[in-house]
Amino acid sequence: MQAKRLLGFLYIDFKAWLAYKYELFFWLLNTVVGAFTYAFLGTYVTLYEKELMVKYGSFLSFLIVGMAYNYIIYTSLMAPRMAINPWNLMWRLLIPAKLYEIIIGSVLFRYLIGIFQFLTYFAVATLFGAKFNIDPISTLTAIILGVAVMWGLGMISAGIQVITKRWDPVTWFFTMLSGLFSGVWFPYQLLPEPLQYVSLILPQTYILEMLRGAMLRAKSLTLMMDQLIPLVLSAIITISIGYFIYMKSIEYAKERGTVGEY
Amino acid sequence: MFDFWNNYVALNYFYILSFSIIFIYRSSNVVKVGTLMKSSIEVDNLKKSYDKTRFRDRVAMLFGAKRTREKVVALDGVSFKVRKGEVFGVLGPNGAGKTTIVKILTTVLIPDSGEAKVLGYDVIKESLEVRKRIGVLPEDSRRGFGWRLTAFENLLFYAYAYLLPNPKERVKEVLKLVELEEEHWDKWYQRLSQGMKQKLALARALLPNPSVVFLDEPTKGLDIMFVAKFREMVRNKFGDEDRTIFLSTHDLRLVEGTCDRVAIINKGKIVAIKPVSELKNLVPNSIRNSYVLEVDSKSTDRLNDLVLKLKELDIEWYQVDNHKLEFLVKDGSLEVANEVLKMAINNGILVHSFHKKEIDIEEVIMRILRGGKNAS
Repeated sequence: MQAKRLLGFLYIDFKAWLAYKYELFFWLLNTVVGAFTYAFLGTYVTLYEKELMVKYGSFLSFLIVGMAYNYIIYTSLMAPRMAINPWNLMWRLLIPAKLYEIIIGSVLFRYLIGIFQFLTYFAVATLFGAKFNIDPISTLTAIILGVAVMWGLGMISAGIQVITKRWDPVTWFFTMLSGLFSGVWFPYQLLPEPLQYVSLILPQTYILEMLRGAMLRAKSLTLMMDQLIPLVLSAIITISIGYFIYMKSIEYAKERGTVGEY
Repeated sequence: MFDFWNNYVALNYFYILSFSIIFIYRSSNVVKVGTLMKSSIEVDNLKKSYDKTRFRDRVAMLFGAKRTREKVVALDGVSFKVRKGEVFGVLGPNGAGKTTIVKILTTVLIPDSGEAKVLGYDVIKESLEVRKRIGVLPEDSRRGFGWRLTAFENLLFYAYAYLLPNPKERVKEVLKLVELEEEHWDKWYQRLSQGMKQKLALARALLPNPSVVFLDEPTKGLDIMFVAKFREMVRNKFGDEDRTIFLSTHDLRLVEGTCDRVAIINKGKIVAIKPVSELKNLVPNSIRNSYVLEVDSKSTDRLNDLVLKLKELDIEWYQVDNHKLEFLVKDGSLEVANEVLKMAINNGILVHSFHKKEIDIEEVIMRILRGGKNAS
């Protein structure tokens, strides 16, 4: 094996890595945030295990609801972007269909896959003794509101990507922060107090709180007004802004002739 | 009084019922916009330029920085009409604006100004109605196909998307129409040859049985055998006499063999719109009706001597290019032309060939593009 040749490979990969400046910056940030997420998970979950047992039944049950968020609700953030994949967008726009039909049609299968994945986790977790105490109406409401808020954010994200063609800050922002601040892997209350304020501005925090209340403690809607009201408001605001940005960006791409470009 | 009132109400019900029946009956006979149009496509003073300013400069401008906008004019006041059932070609060099026209007419690009209608529907305001009635074979026809789906499955998706009745049957019909052999129907898209992919894209364009078909560089990647067949298909408008075909291409033989009329576009402007048969009239008479005498290279000097004697004959114009003499005879007289030939032979010139010049469409287009309508 020639060391010089390996050095050549190393060199071009390093140069290519350096060439994407924005991505490099956010890659570094993701690495740091990811490291902190696991540090909190490892340290505080062990420390507060008893409290978690009392509040959520078990840590496993707590995590499974996080999976429900990841597989069903988080899909909505990505869904509008998948619909505008430049490889297909021009052809999707040529079909005599309304834009919302195209977007919904493009992501339906992802939801089915997401639900299947979640149910698999749910079934295995039940086998391993996870306990659930479900209020069906509250659960359904939490999922619908979560999907609605994420759809709104997803449309903002997709709208930006139709124009920039590559990177959008919205998906990155909500994806990166949700792991550490929103309580996907551990309750956000375990974070130091100043960091909990970050959690409170993220809609995912409310979605997960409501979902856990509905799936683990069978809370009725009337007992979850603290989550319900912010989520309803967020859904109305993000969907209105998202739809406006999405439509405008498609129009902008049609004007600039960049519909099918990467 | 009571009876009168009852009768009055009953009479009103009767009127309402009668008018409702008449209204429902008549409304089923209402002719939709566009179906009686003589023109399938109407384009009026269409303008489009692309902003090529870099993204970072546009962002800087948003914050008040001074940058100049870089614009490229793609269409500069283009107007034309395409009749129902016509095969209409658009010819022009790369970057002339052909694809821009196709994109605007197929609703995926918004013009800066001007108006474009397809079957009477505005391509911006009524884009959905336009898309219901058109079929498109875009320049990059690979787009929109699943690479790990079979040819059949790919089309089946579009058949569902177009809400076609009997989708599977319709897919079979169009695959047969474009002559994609049945053995390839179940192959993954990525395993089809370039020509087969192009046939599949054509099948997709024809799938909804459209009234207008847009073909952007349709013969790209097709094998010679199929190109000939394809020309015949376009000539037959894919089996529907009323179908309008809008063809954007570099393939002059395709244009010559299929188009009723052709528009020549250059630098975003229409240079000429003519029936193909009349295109040659755009080239000056001197080029169309001249005779060409080609001589052996040993006779070049004698050819120059012959030129001096041409003044004695009724020659309107001539030019000598190395060992080739091209000349135009007054009134196209064959006798005078033969006289030139005799003089050449008598002067001891070794003649290779002598013929009336047949100008082909390629030369016509080249001359038009080089110098406008009256290019010589």
